[in-house]
Amino acid sequence: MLRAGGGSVDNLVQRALENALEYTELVDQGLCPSPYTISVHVPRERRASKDDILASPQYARYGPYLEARASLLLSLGFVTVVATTIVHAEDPPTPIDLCHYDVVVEAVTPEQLRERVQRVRDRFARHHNPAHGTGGARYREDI
Amino acid sequence: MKTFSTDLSRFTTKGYGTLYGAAATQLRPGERIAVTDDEADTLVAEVVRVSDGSAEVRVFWDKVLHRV
Repeated sequence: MLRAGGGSVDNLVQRALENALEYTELVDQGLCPSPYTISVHVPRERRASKDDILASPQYARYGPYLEARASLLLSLGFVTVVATTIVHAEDPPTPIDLCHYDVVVEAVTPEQLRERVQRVRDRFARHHNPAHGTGGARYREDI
Repeated sequence: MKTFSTDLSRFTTKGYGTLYGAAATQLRPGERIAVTDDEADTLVAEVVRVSDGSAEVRVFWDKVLHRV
């Protein structure tokens, strides 16, 4: 199950364009089919529960959050790569232990990008975040 | 305080992340700014370093300026 911060299609497109700078070099080298991505998280090795993820510092600040099955996204022909990065590789292990994924969306024009992001977004269900406002207190650095 | 809209889900558990664009390159190390995301709280962040086209910042997850 993939989880992402709340987001309208316009916001997701804006973020994809903004974050494309991170991928431009990889695309130029032929290592990635597209610079456009959507950020999602999954627990590493199933060590974090849904509540753990939603109470993590990143997610506790979102009102709604998005949830989708990875298989539903990967069935889309233009979603070709899910690149992974451990969010807090520089940090000691925590009970959350999230991995950051980038769902790569192939698109040639801004119009096509928006249409495809819409199709990706349609596969996410939008939920109220029960952890919003808790501040992720269980994961303060001093605990 | 300048406010930046960004992808907070890319920030690390300890709050590190990157802002892109011309406005980000005008920031100065140590400067306090506000960051937010779509349907998310607005938080205080501090500029760590600035380079060509981007600025590395650290957001303080517990310093909320505005709650959604």
